[in-house]
Amino acid sequence: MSESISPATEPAPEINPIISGLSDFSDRISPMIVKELRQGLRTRAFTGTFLILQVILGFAMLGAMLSVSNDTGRMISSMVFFLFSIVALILQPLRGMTSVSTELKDDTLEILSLTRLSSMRIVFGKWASLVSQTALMLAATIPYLVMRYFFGGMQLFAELALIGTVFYLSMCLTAVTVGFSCSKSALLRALIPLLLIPFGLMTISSMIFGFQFVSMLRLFSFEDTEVIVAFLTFLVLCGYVGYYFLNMGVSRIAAVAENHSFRKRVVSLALMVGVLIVLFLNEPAQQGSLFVVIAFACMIGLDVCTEDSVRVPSVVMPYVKRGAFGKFVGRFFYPGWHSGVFLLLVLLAFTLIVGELTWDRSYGSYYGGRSGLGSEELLMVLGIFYTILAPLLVVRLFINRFSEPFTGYVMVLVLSALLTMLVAIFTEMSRSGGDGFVVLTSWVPGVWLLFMENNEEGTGIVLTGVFLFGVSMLLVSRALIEFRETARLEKQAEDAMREE
Amino acid sequence: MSEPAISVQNLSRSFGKLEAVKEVSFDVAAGSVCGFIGANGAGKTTTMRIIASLDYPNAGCVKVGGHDVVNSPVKVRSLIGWMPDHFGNYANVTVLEYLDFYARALGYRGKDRQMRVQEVMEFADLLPLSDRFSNKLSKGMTQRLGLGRSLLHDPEVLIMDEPAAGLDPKARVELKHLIRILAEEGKTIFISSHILSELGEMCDHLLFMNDGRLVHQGDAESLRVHGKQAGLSLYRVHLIGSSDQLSNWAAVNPNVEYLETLKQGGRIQIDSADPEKAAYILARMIQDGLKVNEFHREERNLEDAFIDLLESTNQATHGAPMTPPPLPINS
Repeated sequence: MSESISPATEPAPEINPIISGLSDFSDRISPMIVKELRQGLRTRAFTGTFLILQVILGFAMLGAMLSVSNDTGRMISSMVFFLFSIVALILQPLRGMTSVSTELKDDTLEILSLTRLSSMRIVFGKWASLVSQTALMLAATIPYLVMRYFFGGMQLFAELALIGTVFYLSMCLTAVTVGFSCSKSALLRALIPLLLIPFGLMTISSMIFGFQFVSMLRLFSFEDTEVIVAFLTFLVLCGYVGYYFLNMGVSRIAAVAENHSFRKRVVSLALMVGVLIVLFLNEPAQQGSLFVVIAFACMIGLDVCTEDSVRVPSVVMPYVKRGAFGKFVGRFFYPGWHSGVFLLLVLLAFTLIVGELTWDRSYGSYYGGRSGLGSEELLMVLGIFYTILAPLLVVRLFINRFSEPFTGYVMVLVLSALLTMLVAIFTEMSRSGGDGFVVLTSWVPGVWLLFMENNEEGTGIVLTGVFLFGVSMLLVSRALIEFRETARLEKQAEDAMREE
Repeated sequence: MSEPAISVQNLSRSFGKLEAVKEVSFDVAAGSVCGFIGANGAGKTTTMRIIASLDYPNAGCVKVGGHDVVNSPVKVRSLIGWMPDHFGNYANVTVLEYLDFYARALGYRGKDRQMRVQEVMEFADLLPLSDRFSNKLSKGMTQRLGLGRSLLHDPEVLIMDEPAAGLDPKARVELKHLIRILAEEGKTIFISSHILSELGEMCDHLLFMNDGRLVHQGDAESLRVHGKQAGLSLYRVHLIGSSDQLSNWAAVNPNVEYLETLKQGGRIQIDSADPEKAAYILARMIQDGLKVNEFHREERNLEDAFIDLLESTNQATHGAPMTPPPLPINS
């Protein structure tokens, strides 16, 4: 063993060939991507999938060459798209589910956090590595599409755009699963495969082997401007969802002194306002404004309702430095569910205003004219905000068992969905007296949907409105109690500022 | 006086209703080797994790190199090397790739990175293992890899939580050797262990935790003379003849307590640490006709001293003698 470890001041010794040989990745690439690629490319999940994909596609191509049919080209396309979609939209995202959780389980994340790698670089590095591996799979699939060109009948641009879109969706889905993998709860992580595998398989099969494939290719030839706008909006929204989940994961593993909430909330609100402005300038599309606000509110709600409250004075310091205004802004932007409740209530009011201003009840009918929210839309808005806030109350009041609020929150949401399904089944089975059962169970988040089904929006609005009001008031009172602790931190921050 | 490398003031940390650390205060001088001792659940790891900026205090202030661990974690992290008691290694990553990754993550580039990895591998004797997958190493090799990793950025303060736990004697000696070299280089080493005798040899200063509180601090000698055994001394006496003679003699001598019977003779305790008093007792024995052929003082070992300390602490806290919690001793 050497007798010294401090950096040498004498002339540098020769570098051992074993060490100098390790130059497979440039210094410019993020260390996390380097490590993840070294690890990932050696896993059985990658090598196995890669080889199986090649073997199946090779045999499919061989079979197609031997068969004489007019439909051979389309069959090859279907096969290539089906296999690549399975890999890119199911298998690779599923690998993301264990990316950060393995580090949490093996206690390696803490060691990583002591390096210069920020939690953001860790999470984004994991995601980028998985996306790079999907890109390798894509690169290995492209030659089969090129060969398929020789069989004729290929819509080259549409098929390339489609495969590019599948890759983009894979990036977004992988971002969602990597974000989820920052949760320590195995229960929560088990939910994703349960949803993704059956739903993904069904959707991909029906899209590729059903009639939709031909119509999808027609869509991807982008002959219509409306299609292009809709497609771009879809891409932006998917990208936002992916970005948001990655950031949610980042904040879950970040040190307590880091504040990621402000950026997340501001980016979401800014993007929402941006999209609303674009829609406002394009009058026929204004009808979509309500849905845009609701979609953003759902994403923001999922995040803010599952955040831990601020615990150290350094986080409130930047707000406190700006005096009373800073503290007021902090009431909506401090990390934690307590400020999230206030933000969501503001968003509820904003949603109702946007709906009232932009929703056209008689859209598409002969009689035009803007007339604000209808009862169905009002019930939808109230119901969605009730569904966002009620699980938070359950978690804060009743569930202390879950080490992470995120797990508790999602579990309550899933349970609510299951209860709603049961109520719906019971209502369907017992046609007489079923409506009374819906009223009785209207406290379950999600049951408001059944009022819409049964055309009883009036009753639904009253009941959901009352429950939403009650839940909001209880949450506000709890949040105010939580803000006492935040006020103590603000005081500490002020004291520290004075000392400085 | 220079600033302490680690300063802990009134540190408290609780997890729900469990108070893991209760108003603990201590300083670790720069360039010293400080041992941190306590039974399982005493609050050692929680304290160390807070010092390493991996957890946060509910109350109190912790500084490393003058920087607050909560408000300036990035600065603190550049000063410390953290070696936890257990850490997983990555599957499908070799020892060389593992160190290369951490060197990259710590900001080393190009030749500097290669040089630093080489220095660390040579120091921890990891070059022969460079092609081995990091998750397929023995416990001793893993600890050497962990030490190498924690030294990559040449930290001023090294925090080691139970580094010798689960190591075989050879690996333990190797690790001790490495720590000694680091201490000679002037690094501040804060090390926790159950192996009291080893810490006694290695450390300039010892901190003893029990039930979330700091119950004693000082060097190994201060522990030996601390508590109810302070001012007493133990002697092993060999006789030609029956041990009963010794016990009977002790029964009538008020300054001597007979402790246990040995093969030839027994162990006695004298109510003074003064060697002159011991010489007087020996003279009396011979005068009273005991055929003493061996009489030598026994040092109290640290384990006994620590258990006595726990007993006296519990007595002071609970008002009645209590059995101290079992202390796993590996030595």
